[in-house]
Amino acid sequence: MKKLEDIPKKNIFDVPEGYFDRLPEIIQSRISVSPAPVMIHSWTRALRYALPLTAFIAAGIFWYQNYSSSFSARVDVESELASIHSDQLAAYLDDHELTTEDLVETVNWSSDELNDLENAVYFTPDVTHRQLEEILDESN
Amino acid sequence: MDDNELLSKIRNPETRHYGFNLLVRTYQQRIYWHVRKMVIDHDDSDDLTQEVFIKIHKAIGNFREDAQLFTWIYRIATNECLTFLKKKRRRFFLPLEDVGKELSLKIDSSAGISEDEIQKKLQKALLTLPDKQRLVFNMKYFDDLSYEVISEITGTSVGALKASYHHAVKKIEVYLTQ
Repeated sequence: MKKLEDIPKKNIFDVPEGYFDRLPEIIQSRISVSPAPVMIHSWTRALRYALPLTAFIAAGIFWYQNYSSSFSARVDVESELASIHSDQLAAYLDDHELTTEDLVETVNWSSDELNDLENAVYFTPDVTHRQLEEILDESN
Repeated sequence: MDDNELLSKIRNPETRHYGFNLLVRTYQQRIYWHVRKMVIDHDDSDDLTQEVFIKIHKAIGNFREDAQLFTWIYRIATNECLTFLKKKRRRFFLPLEDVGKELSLKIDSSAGISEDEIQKKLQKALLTLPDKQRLVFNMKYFDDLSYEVISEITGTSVGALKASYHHAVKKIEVYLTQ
């Protein structure tokens, strides 16, 4: 087997004459078209990653504080209303020009609540038409 | 002028242009020959060498001094070579052997290559190796770089590099015997 060490180390490639004299000028002319390099210190590189992270955390804290304060405000209103007596509430509503329809529209009723309300308002006893006529005759 | 002086000249806005010119003059031959041994053709090597220095110019601001300037420059050149060969294969849907054959033909037909037959045969033997193994062989055999430096350039462990080099030598010797 032929050994690699038997072969002398030689560079068999060649370049055109004066190639390495011209190359720096060619590179410089290509570089002068592109913008100059910006030297970045290690702390500015760290800052590049740290700033967005800090902004993100700050936004998160801001959002959390707003959310928790609005949540506690909602809880406070409900407990305040619960502490007011029904008569006082009714008197307050009488003094204001709010119709029952206005009040009903402000509430998001569930279908069960609406059914209960309808039953309460339009409740009809379980009687036949004849029984109803008899009741009416008696009352007359 | 050593690498630290070169860097301080490049970092000074008043001497930046001069400093970079010095860097090109210092490293152009090493980079050109490193590239030429990988891509064989002079025009391709010329294009790639220019691209390497333009990339160095753009990225020198990000150069961290925990690595040597020399290994950083070599790493950029190495990546450019590997990307070039990969693109060449993709563009023509060529398998590894066919790119090797194409480059072997260039060894026979291109101007600017010695007529020394045994040296040509050695270059053809190298072209039968995978790109990364050829790269390691070139850096160790022709450039006389230590395994530690090659490890820094390629990001491969010294043990893996030693194994790769010895395996490459065996394959080359088999080819030379044929």
